[in-house]
Amino acid sequence: MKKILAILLTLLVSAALFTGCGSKGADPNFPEKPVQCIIPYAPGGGSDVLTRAIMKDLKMAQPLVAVNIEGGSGLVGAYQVFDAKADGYTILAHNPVDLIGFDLGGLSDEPLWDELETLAMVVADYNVISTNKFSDWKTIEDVVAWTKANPGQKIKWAVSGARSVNMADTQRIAQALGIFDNITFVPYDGGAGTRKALLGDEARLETTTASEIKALVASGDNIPLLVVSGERIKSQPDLPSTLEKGIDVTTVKWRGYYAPKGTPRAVMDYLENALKEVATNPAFVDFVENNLNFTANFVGGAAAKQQIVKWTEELRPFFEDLK
Amino acid sequence: MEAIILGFQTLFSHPSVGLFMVFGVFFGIIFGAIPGLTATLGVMLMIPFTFTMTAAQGLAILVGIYVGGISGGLITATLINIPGTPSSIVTCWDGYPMAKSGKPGEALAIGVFASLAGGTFSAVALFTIAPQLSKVALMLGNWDLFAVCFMGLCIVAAMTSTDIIKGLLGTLIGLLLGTVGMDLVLGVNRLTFGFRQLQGGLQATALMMSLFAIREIMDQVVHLSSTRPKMTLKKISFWPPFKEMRGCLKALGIGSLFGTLIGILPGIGQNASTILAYNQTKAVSKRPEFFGKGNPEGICASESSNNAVNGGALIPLVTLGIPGDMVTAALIGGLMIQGLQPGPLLFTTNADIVGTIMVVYFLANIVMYIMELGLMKAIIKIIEVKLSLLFPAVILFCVLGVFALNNRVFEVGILIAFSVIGYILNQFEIDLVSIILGFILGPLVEKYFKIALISEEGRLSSIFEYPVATICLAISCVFLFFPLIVKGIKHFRTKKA
Repeated sequence: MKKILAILLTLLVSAALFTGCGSKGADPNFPEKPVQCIIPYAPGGGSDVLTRAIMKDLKMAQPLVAVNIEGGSGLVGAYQVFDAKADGYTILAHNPVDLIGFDLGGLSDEPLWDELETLAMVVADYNVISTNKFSDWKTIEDVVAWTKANPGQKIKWAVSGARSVNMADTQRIAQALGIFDNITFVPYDGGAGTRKALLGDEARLETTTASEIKALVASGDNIPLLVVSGERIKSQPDLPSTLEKGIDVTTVKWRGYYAPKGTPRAVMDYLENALKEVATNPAFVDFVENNLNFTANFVGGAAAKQQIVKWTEELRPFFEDLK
Repeated sequence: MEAIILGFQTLFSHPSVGLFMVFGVFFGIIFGAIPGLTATLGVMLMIPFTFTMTAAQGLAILVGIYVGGISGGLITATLINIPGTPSSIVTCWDGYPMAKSGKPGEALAIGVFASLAGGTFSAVALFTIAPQLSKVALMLGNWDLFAVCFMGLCIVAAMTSTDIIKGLLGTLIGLLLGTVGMDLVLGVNRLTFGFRQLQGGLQATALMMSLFAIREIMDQVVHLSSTRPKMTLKKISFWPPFKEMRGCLKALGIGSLFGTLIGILPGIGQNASTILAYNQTKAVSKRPEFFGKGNPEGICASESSNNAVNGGALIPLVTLGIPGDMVTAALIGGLMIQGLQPGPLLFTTNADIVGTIMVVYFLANIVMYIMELGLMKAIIKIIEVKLSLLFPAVILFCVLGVFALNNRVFEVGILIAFSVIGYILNQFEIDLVSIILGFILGPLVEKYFKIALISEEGRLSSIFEYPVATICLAISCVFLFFPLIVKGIKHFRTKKA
């Protein structure tokens, strides 16, 4: 009896192994069923709206279905995809900057930015250094001048997350400007917190994203000083970039899509092409730029990964200091 | 004022907006009334559908669900002692005893009326002093917010339980549970035991439904064989039973005021608001001994405050574009899809939309009142359903609702585990409400404390530079040491004598 059972189990195990192998091979008919896209945030947020806009215009044989799994600032949903079957039927909407932050900040055991396959980046958002109307600063030079004139005093600078890429970049910029010792860096738990801090004059400087402050810039409550980017951005062409001020910090807050490691190449190419078609569609570009305040910026998986590796290596030593 | 007129205009020129709102309220009441399916879930499920609507339609339906859902929770809370939505936990305490004593219709009518009162109060605040209130909210610094939340924690730890040790123990357990997961300020994992499913923390809805719905079912199942109290419904009038509502004006006032103010502050929400309003009402009531035994004041405090929070949370949204909770965050998403930029300028550039939000919120409360009274005859039939059929259905909906909120089976595991833990804790008479309060306020207290301390470079004494914080701290001390002070005075007097 025991022997038969053992044989049966062995058979079962090997059958399971073979089916496992079977799904490894590229499926020429992909997709045969709807593709799940995990959005690691609550419905109604920027990432959620972006993915749903893509879903609407996406041309695939099967629909893309959005599934929101929030928690841990996007980490829980990312791991859900990390653990998912690598058949292309589960993909992740995420941003490399947060995934890098999880890894370097020691929050995730695996470097998810590397362990997940990068499908494509679809839009870009940018960190913006800004001040409020109580400060009288109009340019970043005004801030530097103020610190020279008031050597004993400190400026409070609101940033979301103490061990995030936002914080590392903010500190790199402060160092490059030579005002690091004049700043108290105050971490908040998200963009709503930093915005409130700046509006209420709890902090005089804020690192936030271009997409979040459009309305506040228009009302004059938020005065942008500098954008973290290699070049000036389309939505605020008068705003100087870090690179033109001689500060070599250019981490862009891309938003894009990932797949579990080991997803067949053909399937990934299929998804990348489908995404590319949407991302370069003029109606979509118009929507993300005017309504969501992002910059449309399609970057293919391989090119994006190369850039992400570069940013990660730049950031790594700064995270050592943050710990 | 102009915005409000524009809002009414939008509503009259686009009747579909009104229809969407009415549908939203109905949908919300159903979701609110079924334990496990919460108001938040109703909003989250509806969001994707709003993407294809106009801005006014989408906002109308979401606001409708919000209002209906938060109020609808009182139905099962009153009739079977199981909160339909977590914000009605407190309504159980007086609603159910009152229903059991042969006045289910009156208890429901009082609850529904209190919802209307709270909602209307905050709507009036939204209409008249929203910009001023949002300035107040901006003025409060991290130390102030810390002290406000800390005060809430102290008040309840000292007052919810007859036994202060058990009250404190409950709060402590709540604080610990609130610590689980990723700390978003400092970016570290805490109490996850290397288990990455826990990095998101414990889901509030799962925790509350396990402690107050499933645990309650386990308690009631023990007595399943004994006969249920016979509840009969008399005629339902449009007016609430005013003669039952002696002394309730104060309760409604406290509930509405607390709710509106708490709504403006981010993160505290309906659940903590009802507990705080209930305690405050009890403290100033002329007959505190009747609380927990079917006192209409208790129902009024709870139901007026949870609905007032809705209006309060809309204030920072329409004035600053900053979300106060998940639902208002979703509303911001809805605005952006339509190409509107939520922020201080929204009032001037899109006064029609701001006006629509305010008017729809105001009218949704009235629709909710009429609809719930109208549905009362059908609703009350719940008490005729056999508990052996009703309870499994409730459990099923809890599992479904908790899963659907975050699409994860793990959350269902939390629900099951904490039902058992809650049952055991309840047997030891640990105060479950203090657990919830610790769970909600603990993380806020900690967050503001950390940010404040970092911002002041570690100077703890800087808290005394903030007047609101100092006053709140003083009040907290009084609440914490009140029993000791009373004892001391008594001791002193007896000695003298």
